Amino acid sequence: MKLKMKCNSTFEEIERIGTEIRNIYRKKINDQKAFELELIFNEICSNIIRHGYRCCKSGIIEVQLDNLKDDTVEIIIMDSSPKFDPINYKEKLGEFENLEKGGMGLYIIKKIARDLEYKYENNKNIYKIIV
Amino acid sequence: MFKIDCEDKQEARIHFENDYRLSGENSNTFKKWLKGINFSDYEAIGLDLRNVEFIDSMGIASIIWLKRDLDKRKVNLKIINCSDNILKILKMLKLDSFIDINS
Repeated sequence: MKLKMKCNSTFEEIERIGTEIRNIYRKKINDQKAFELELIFNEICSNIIRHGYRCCKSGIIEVQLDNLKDDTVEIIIMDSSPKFDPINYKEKLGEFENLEKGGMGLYIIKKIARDLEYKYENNKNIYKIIV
Repeated sequence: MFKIDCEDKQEARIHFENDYRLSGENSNTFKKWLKGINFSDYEAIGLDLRNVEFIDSMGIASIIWLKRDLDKRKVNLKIINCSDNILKILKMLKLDSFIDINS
């Protein structure tokens, strides 16, 4: 069953939706999967708010979640901020000195996700992540 | 939201309130609070994550900031009582190579 939610581009809203996602998937699958889903949702939406909508609170973020087989979950996040392709963004992590400088969120997403796809269609950034 | 306890002059422990989310704007609040503490008074700090139920990259960045600040003052930092979910993320980022972490 697909779960669809929509929220404004504020940190309060992504926290509210993130907590909801975690509570649902904690019961559906397990605590670790629920934590990873919330973390990925949180990191992508934080990037959208800070770098896409530049903290403008009237932006819209849409999210869809769908259970696939073997306890994997597909999460699709869409927004109408300027185009940003996370797949071709190179994070400079690995060294302690670089960890605080940015890109940590994307690094976490890429490490946790089994698959990450991005497309820009109808003026929307569309992120499809398999967790 | 947070408090620092010190049983002796050598080691202090930072605690969080129940079900704390070290993420987003909370991370900035935590960092501001840290900036108001004179860590030079202590020899070691234990960051007790027992009550932290969620952390994101901004929360982790605040811990890295604390580690750097304490290194400058020659004060040791140890992360204690972190959940399996949080430990997995910290290890994924190889933070355990730079910070002493006990789950």
